[in-house]
Amino acid sequence: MKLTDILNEVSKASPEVFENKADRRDILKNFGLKIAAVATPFAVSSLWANKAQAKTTDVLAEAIVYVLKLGYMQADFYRQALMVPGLIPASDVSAFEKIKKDKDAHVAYWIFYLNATNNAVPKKNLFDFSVKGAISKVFTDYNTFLSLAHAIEDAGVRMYLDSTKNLLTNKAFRIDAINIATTNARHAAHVRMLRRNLGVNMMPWVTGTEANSIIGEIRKAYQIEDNTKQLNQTTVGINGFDISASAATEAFDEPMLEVDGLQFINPFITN
Amino acid sequence: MKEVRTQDQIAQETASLSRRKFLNYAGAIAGAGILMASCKKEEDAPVPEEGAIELGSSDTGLLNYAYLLQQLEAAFYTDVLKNPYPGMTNTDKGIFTAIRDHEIVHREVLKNYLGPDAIPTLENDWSSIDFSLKDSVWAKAKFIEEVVVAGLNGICKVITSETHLVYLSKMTVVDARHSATINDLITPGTFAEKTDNDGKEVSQDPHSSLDITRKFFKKAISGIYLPKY
Repeated sequence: MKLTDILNEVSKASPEVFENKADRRDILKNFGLKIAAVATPFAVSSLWANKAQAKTTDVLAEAIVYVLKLGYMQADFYRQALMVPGLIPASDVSAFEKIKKDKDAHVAYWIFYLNATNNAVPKKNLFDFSVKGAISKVFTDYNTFLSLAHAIEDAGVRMYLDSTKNLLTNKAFRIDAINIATTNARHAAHVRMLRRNLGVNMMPWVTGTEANSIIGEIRKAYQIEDNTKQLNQTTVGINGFDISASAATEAFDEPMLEVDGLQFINPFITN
Repeated sequence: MKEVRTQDQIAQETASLSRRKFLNYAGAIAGAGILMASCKKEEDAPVPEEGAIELGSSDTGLLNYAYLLQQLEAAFYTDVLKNPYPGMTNTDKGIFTAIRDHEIVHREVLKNYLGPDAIPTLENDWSSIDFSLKDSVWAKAKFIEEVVVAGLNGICKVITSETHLVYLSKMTVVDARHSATINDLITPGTFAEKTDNDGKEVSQDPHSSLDITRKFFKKAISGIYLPKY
């Protein structure tokens, strides 16, 4: 058995350990290259010469910066909420601590990989979740807090779904994004259950565009969530099954375009 | 409930143990190999299991595996509601019905999309479930949802078409909502109990995922041509 064969065996046998490291190390070489997957050595070196320029248009780095911005917002939202005594009932505090812990971890994770790949890490924003008083009770009334919380969670899931596409060329980052998206979906479901337990007519999954659950700009979180077409098929009553329009929309979360995602995030940013 | 979960955990542990064993084994070979004279090892062509349902290769195989996972979920909730355990509350029924309908949509979209490439509808082996016991049903719901989310995420890692990736990711986040809900209804606050230190879901590669899934089906199922991590 040659050494190359041995390496081949080991890489096959230990997918997680081997690939996680190897894949991301590859990125160190490929980051900044928009067409990394098809780049020839010649193209690589010529693109490296324009690294600074290439960096700003890099699909992978941009996707990571985008979800990092979302992470900043989500982590700070729970940080601020947990600092307000009495806002969150004692029985629910540990769940929000768990959610905040996950969000902090997401932020740390992406910062690590931006640094590791010599990409600029965007500065942490300051956030005003009352949006200049428009949601004045966000940290004084639990129900208001929960309603913004699930909008931020649901929108966050949808932003990750969109970013996943932009990470398609890299298996390691793509699976990271998917694995964070499903964690966020778990958070969303939990927050929605808490609201349901307070008597709000809502399920842990998103029905239609949630027209009655929220106000104003925040409604952007649910644009096109009422989609009833998947892979070019109509999902209502699919194949003769008794599937209602509500169930058909609940069955999928829809990716939110980055332009819409930023429109959702920006009103909360103070600088 | 404990008993049923333990069985599942054993199954899961066995699957990961066999991978670990293989790893050690591969390590031993690697060590021995250095001492051995160089000899070319040919790639062994995989041998299909006779009479087994073959999922196929590339994206089609992966979509068939996703289809199998959705068959499992949809059939499970359909049977839960057909054979309600004594004392099933309206809330339980509402949750199960909603989830069942989502899973049927997931399944049917994949079935139509795969068309002639789709595996047939497969009969389930429910021998590890007692539908008349509330705890058994909820424990199994928890187990199945967790396996499906981890499995779908793993598929997302190796699928190649953007269209397929988008569809699967839109679906797995809703399955994650199911999983969180079931967990919370069994033990409040456990909605994301299995995330890793980076706050990420722990995904599973399609091969080891199938090792767990196939015990819920009567027919043998082969995934030897499925892409590897």
